Amino acid sequence: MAERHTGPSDRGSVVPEFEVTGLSRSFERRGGRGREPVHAVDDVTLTVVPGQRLGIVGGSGSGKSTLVRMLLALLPPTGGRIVFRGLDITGLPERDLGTLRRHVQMVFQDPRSSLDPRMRVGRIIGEPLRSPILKAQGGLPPDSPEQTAALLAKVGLEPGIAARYPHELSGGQRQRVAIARALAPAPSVLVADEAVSSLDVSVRAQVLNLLLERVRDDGLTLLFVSHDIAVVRHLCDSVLVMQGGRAVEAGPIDAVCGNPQHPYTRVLLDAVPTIHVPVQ
Amino acid sequence: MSDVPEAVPLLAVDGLSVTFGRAGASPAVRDIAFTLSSGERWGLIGESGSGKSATALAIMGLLPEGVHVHGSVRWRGGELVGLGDAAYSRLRGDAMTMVFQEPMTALDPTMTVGRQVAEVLRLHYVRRAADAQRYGVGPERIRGHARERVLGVLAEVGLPDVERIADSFPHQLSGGQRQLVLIGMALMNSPLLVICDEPTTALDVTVQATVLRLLDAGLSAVGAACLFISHDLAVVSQVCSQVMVMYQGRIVERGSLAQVLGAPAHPYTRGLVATAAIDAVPPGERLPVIGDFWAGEDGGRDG
Repeated sequence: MAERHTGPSDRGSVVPEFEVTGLSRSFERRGGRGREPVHAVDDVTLTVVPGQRLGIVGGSGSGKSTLVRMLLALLPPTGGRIVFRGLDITGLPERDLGTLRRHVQMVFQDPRSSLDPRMRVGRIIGEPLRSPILKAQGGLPPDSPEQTAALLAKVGLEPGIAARYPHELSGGQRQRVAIARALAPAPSVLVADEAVSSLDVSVRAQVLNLLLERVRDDGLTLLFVSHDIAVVRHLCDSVLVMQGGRAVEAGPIDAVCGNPQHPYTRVLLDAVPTIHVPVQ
Repeated sequence: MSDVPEAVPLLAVDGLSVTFGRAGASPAVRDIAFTLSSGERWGLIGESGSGKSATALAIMGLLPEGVHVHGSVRWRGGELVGLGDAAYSRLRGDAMTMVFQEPMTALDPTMTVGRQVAEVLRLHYVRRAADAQRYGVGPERIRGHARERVLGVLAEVGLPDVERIADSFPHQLSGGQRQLVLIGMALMNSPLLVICDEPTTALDVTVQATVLRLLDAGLSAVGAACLFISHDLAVVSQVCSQVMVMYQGRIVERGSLAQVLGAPAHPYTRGLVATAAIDAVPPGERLPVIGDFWAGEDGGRDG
């Protein structure tokens, strides 16, 4: 697993999915104490190679979500550069982001709010396949009932689910639908932002198994954002630890968890709740 | 506590059922029974929809109109089911308090934190005015010390810079700070029972660790009993020494934490224990799921 990590030595001739240099995002503070801007993301540099499973871990306010929003061109950076598959996408207008939209898909934390409540599951899953932006890129599978059934099967759901509405499903089923939708255009990169954080522990295990299976079988690159380093350790081969907008530690997951260099990484490891059995 | 005989438990739930919607609908809580004695800390664990929150709300008398509650909930021997709102509100926030999952909705967004804490102190005080007079302490005296007491409540749950926090509105605080404010409010009247419903589920792990540590210390300081509701066995084990497992509205297993975790009797509990220990599985390997242990009463589950 560790050999997949993006060290300068093993990049070789492979074109990285993402090459990010000195990426920053600051927000002007309105009112409140002081006028100085808030540096949500501060000078982050990282490379993501195909097949890598990178965990981005940190507490709330660490800047991890702001970072992935910039990678997905949902938020313009205030400094630095983002190169996607050799193309500089920093500040590109939406109409020129077709390649990124085609190949990078996202799963959000709360499927209750990320799935349109008025659409049946079948339509939700097929939506990316009807997008003119994605269609213009070519190579999309057709939006057909067979395709929908195949996608549902990929995430372990019965074909009959296609006729249901999101509110008729359990939390775990909804998150499976969100994953099916993300997989629909056959992306190469899957970005999951706290995708298992709102799930019960028992359902979390099922969704993590599904993510691992899909990432392996479909040869996906994974960017997995979480506040829980235990989940990242299970899922990812490499990790970027963020605190206060900065990347304070990065490296292969085994090395970082086994021998943390930054005190904050140690805090994150110590905070993982483990079953504590009192002495009787 | 001294005026109640030892044999009467703090809380005795017997044959409790809760049904939402029309009569005849399938109940969320099905005929459960348990007792909780002074100072005991019970975890109530189960997944979403298992009926654990409905149980807590039924005990607190917070279920909306039209929800059918059957059975008995006795508080130090007195029946709570069917109790009027006035009598209930004398109990709530005083001897029996609750900490909710989402502190943003539990706090009033238009009031500073200090005012909200003072409000609860004042309500509590007015109710006990007679007691206070007996001890020769007038209302002025307590009112004069309100600010000091508010700051004391906030400091006791480990909040830093309490002056600033007292003058802040809820949205100006972090999620963890808001939850600590609520825990401070739940503990400040020295309750006999604190019911916590997923109090750290909305927090990230580092904040969760801090909140659990401070909750544990606060409960010990006050000597309160606790009913701690969670879907996460690892979290429950930080605070409780005993645990009940709820599944589809029923309590399927109960006992000491050591007993339930060490030798779970019900296959569903075995599944819960296995799924909670993510660190016991080598990275990248398939995690155990409940279905490996228990197919469910309806022949299978989906998640």
